[in-house]
Amino acid sequence: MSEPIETRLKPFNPLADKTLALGGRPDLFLRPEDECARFSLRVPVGALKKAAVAFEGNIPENIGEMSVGTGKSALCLGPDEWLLLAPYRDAQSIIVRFSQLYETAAHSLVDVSYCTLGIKVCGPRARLALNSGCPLDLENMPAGRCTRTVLAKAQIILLKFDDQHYRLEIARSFAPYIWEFLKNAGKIEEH
Amino acid sequence: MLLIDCPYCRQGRPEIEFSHAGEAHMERPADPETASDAQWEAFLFHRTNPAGIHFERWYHIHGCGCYFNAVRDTVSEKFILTYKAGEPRPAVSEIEALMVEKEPE
Repeated sequence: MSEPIETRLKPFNPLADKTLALGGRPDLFLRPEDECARFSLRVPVGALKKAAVAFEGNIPENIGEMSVGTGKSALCLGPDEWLLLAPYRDAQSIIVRFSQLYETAAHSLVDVSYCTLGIKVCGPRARLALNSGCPLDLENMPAGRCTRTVLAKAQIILLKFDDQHYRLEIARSFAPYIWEFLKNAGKIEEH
Repeated sequence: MLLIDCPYCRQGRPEIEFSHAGEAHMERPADPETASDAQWEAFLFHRTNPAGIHFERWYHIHGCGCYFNAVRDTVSEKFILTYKAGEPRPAVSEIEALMVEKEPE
């Protein structure tokens, strides 16, 4: 087995140590989320229970649902596609347990930890800033849902915790662009 | 912005999440070794290009990542219905009924 993930190089984070607070309350607050391990899981729905056992966490079955636990999260992005988030310290054990799962359930687990980074977007202006570049109806999107979509022409994965708290998963190379976009969008006055 | 109903996501989603993927129900010759040049030509190049009801493949690339089929009116640009890939072509009567329903009052 390869060396544990936590000993690998830390991924490049173009937003390292950045935070943004606009307005008094603050109205818009941006911060990169803590680094974590990410896995793209493709598995038939019939084998999902086995996958959840290997993940040691809940994996929701329907598109758009997400299960956010302490540390481990699972996002259902497509009919047979999930994004799994976990702390680095759990990454190696997840890989090992899924490799044992190959014997009983056909699936694909790919480590995509370095592909994207997370941005926390919160505050009373969070929705306005996001909707400046994302045509989804975020106001009526239920809390606790997730989806892959587009923000200012960049593909993102959007998690909604509540109306004033969102998380984006964005390709690392696009992160500075999206950061600046949200910063400028947060400054626009609503008429 | 146009909203397209994705049969997998089961909701109307903004058109910029989608990519067009050509005409639907184009069947590849079952036995490529014995297919004639004419059959290959038909499969590769011949398309119906109608003014009216058109069966199309669409790809929800910035969403669930699935291909699905849509019936679209190429004159009004309206989506009449969408259905999952692999499902049979909807009957003309079903499509016409939906077109009447969607007529503006």
